[in-house]
Amino acid sequence: MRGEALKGHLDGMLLAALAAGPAHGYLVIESLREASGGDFDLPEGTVYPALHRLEQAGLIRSRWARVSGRRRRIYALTAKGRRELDERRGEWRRFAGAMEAVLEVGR
Amino acid sequence: MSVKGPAKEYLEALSDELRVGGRYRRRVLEELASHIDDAAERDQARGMSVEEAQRRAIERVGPVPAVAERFSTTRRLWRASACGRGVRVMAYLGAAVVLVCALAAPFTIRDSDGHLGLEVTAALIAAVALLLFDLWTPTSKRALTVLAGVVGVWLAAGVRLVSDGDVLFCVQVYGCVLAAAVLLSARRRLNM
Repeated sequence: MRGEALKGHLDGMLLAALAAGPAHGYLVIESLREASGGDFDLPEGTVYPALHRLEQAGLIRSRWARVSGRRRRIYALTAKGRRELDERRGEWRRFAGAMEAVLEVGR
Repeated sequence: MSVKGPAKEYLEALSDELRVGGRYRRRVLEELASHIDDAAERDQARGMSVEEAQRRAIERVGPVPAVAERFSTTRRLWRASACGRGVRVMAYLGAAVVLVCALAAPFTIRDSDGHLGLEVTAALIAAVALLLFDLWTPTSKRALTVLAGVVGVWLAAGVRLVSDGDVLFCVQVYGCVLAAAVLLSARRRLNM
């Protein structure tokens, strides 16, 4: 699945990837790829600006840390980010449920 | 940055294209260098050459102009938002000071008919109300509400002018409303 199909869901996916614990950008991309069974093939150049945007919105915070001998920017969810994620999960469940019901009409 | 080869060329080209300040530029370049290293290492472990693995990692990040544009836009919005927050705080503080002065005016300003203090109070409160009205209104409706506020206050001042010819009061109201309108216009032009 390419970037176009994922547009509008990127922020929610990044928050979800960080819900498991703090991670650097590459790890976030890898975890999304793994969680989607390889279906979510994110354009990697879009992930970092999105992370920076989420940080600016106060949904995540970041700091430099040395991991496996390399300096990396580590991102973590804030309390506000966790609340936002819960809200997005709820919205998604309602959307998915409604869409499923609509698509199943007439089957 | 310890990167070499195609990654180094890519990051140098990106650095030239980025329209952001030095600190954010360093952060972006360091993060991407680390990302490209990680991605290239994974592919090298699968048997690719260093150069081939770096080229693949770069391809996955995206073309320099598009990537630079995304970071530049993100930073521009970030700065506009931070600046907007600062202006908003200043506006609230300013409004609070003006309100205190306005409330104190009847006790501190005296004139022959004893009404000047009250008139200054009314004029300043009108200007503060206009500012706060603008701050609390959604952007889409802001122009309309500010216009309504300006017209309302000017009409009130006009009625007062016709009824008792108090030119000083009207000048005060017009001045305050004009100052508030100029402030709002500047804020909007700066996209805050």
